[in-house]
Amino acid sequence: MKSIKKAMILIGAAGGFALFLVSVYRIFNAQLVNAPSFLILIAGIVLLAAGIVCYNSSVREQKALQKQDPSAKSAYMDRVQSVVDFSGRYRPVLIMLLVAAVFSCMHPRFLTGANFLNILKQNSHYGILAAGVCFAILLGGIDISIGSVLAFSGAVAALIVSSGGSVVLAVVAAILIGAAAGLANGVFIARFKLQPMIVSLATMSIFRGATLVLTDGKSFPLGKLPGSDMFKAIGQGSVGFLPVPVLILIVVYAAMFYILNMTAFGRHVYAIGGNEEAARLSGINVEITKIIAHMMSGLMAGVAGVMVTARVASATPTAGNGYEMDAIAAAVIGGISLRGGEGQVLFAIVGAVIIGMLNNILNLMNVSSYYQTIIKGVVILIAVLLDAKSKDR
Amino acid sequence: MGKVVLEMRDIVKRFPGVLALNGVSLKVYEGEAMALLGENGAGKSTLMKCLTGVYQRDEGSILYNGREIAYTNARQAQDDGIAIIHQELNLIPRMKVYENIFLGREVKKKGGALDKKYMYEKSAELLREIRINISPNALISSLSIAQQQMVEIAKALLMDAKVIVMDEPTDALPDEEVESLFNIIRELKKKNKGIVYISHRLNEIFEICDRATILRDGQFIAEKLVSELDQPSLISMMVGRTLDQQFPYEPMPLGDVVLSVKGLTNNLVRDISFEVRSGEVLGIIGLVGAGRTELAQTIYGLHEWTEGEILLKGKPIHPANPNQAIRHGIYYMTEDRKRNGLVLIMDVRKNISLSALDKITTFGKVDVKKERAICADFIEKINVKTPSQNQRVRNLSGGNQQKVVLSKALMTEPDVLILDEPTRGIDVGAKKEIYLLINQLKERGKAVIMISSEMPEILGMSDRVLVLHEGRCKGELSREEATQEKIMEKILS
Ligand SMILES: Nc1ncnc2c1ncn2[C@@H]1O[C@H](COP(=O)(O)OP(=O)(O)OP(=O)(O)O)[C@@H](O)[C@H]1O
Ligand SMILES: [Mg+2]
Repeated sequence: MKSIKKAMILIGAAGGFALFLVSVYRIFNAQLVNAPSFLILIAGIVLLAAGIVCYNSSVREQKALQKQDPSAKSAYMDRVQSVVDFSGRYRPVLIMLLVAAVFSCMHPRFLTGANFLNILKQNSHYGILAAGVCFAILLGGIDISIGSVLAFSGAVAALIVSSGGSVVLAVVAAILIGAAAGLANGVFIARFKLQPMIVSLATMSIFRGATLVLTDGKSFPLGKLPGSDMFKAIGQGSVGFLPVPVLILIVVYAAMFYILNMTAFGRHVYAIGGNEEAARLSGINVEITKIIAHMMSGLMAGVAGVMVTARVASATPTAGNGYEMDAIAAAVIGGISLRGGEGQVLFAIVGAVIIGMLNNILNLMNVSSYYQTIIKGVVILIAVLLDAKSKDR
Repeated sequence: MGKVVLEMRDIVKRFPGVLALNGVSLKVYEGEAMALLGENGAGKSTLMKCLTGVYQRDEGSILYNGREIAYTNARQAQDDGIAIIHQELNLIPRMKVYENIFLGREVKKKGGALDKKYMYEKSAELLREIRINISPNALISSLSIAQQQMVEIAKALLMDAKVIVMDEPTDALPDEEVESLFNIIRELKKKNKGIVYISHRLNEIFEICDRATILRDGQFIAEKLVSELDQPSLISMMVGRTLDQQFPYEPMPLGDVVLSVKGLTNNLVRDISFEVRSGEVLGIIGLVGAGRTELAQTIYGLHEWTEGEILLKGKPIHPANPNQAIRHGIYYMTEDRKRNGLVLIMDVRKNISLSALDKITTFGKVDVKKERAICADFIEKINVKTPSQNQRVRNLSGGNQQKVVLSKALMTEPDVLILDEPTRGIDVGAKKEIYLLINQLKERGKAVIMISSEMPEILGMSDRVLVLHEGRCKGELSREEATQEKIMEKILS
């Protein structure tokens, strides 16, 4: 009950105000006096009102408690603190709402259902990579090989499809290759105790090279065989109004959420990231946990490889180049601490959406992609700074 | 009677869900040691952190040398002459003694180069002043914990501290080194320093302190002259009730041999043999460096061994890591809770269940409801003071963290439980609860091995005592035979 109230106050205040601004903008912009604008207006007012009501009631409660006695006062402090805690915990979501509101005011076409789905679709592979790399980051490590692994597994899938192999085989092969790459990372990191950064730097180079060898340095299309259309659907098709990549995204995040929050394995990952020695003495099999976690990271790169290849209907030697940066940035913006052991995988997608929205608005406003790269770098710096500032350990 | 150098008045400090200090006052007198006493979570460390600027007080005032102070970090307090010696020492192990003493306050020559000669000599002088025999050139990592504490004290002297706070300084200190710490405290008192001394070992209070301030649940209870106090009255002020008999030992009928170790040898221990039966507590005692922890960790699969054998219920085992040891039914509770006992950023509940997740997991899914129930049970039984199960362990007081480590060990329900300094930093009241839990384990036919530096605890709770010295067995004593003198005799034989 208490947490619902907290949620109302905050969502009400932040979300409601944001939506209110949006709707005002849209209605004053004559072309956008339409049904969605009014829906947004109503939603905004409702949320705002709910927020105010909740805030009022808690203020009244707190006044009743304030009888100059420190313990009653501390109950009030608790409430303030819990609001602060709540907004700290859901900070990525609040930032996303705020960014969405600001961007909506900057461009009329930004806040439309179609554009939002489009953002999700265009960034789905970043989201998937981010979900995978979360495992490595939660351990207190990193995996920068995912961009190259994506390229290689995508190329293998394309090769299979273009030479007439079955789509299922192509998908399974790509995923297995991703998992194998993660296994290799994991073994070197956990078994031979090498630095995750160095290990994945090496495998990044290896898989980029392997992709170049496989594609002979040229992109090659999926071809016109019957299987290729089916394969392309993975990147381009849709089920009802939901694009397939978004569907995959949802499924993957549901699975990752379950694994990290509900299972013993997930607990082990967090414990190792928090204090590896304590985890070992508690009887956790640190080596195996680390290896499996890295396999998850590679596996997700394989999935993303299939999606990217299917979307552009060809394999390219430079596919996924630099994607690891966006994925790690998404995770960090989503509040997953680079020091390990802290963060919630669901917020990685929020981070990916924030980056996606940023790219989207810059595109809509015709900002050159060169500047986009600079702006993205600045945003990442800010996110890391917030991480370092907020939770001193 | 000394003059008051420092006075804290009506300090209030709140944390989310916790009113840690509720109007606490404390006076520090020149040339005297003030004991600060209270149960785990009473607010002792928090009060000191409010003094030294680690935390900011919400209400109240602090007068120091007649003026009001409010530091925002510990560095300011140090510069002003208020030093705190934490239980976790803040020295850099791979640097030399004099480098540590001058850390952050390096003296430079004109050209900007370090004036090593001056720093070396000044350090030597400071160490001489408190009559310690350590070379300023020694590496910190080569010193014992007591010696490291002394380096910290020398550091405080360098800054010409007027007030020196010691938060559980003897917590990790072997008995024989406590005396040298006390000698230094006596020296400091002669130099007219004001000392605040926090400890759960009440006999120390009577030995070294002049006055005592008692807190309970964040509230000020009393300030008394130590000479007017005795142990029972002190305890009743601390816990709010009287405690009978400190060691509730109960003999149990002994069962079969559960664990037997024969001629165990590696580079840490030599030729160790002993047995434990179900329903028995085996106490292991020895001086520092006796190899007690090393022995336990070897059995737990943390160190390799090649010679000898370990038999569990008659079957030879050779666990290669803790995971395997736990599967065999052996659990080791570590002595160093911060370093390898707890995941400080995780919450209380997840820490307690960390070793026993498979007990509450079906098809990989953790049964959180069951987990909550079990944790609530432990929290209640050994009185862990925490606002909720979801509180991060980092925010608990030292003693309450220790209780979480202990709950974690108990939840695994092993056949053989090895407890390494189980009551370190735990208050008198809770200690007894822990001893009662050990009795329950005995009753259920478990074997318990207890390692402790506190001789009374070993003598009070063990059925048998194993004496180690420098990695070797020096003999075994039955409960009836075991006395402090006999044990020392064995060690020195
Ligand atoms: N940073 C924090 N956040 C939240 N609660 C805290 C924090 N620090 C301390 N507390 C709470 O304040 C209370 C007092 O803690 P404190 O560490 O001062 O106890 P203590 O008297 O030193 O106990 P011990 O003998 O166990 O060391 C405890 O209930 C503790 O949980
Ligand atoms: Mg304390």
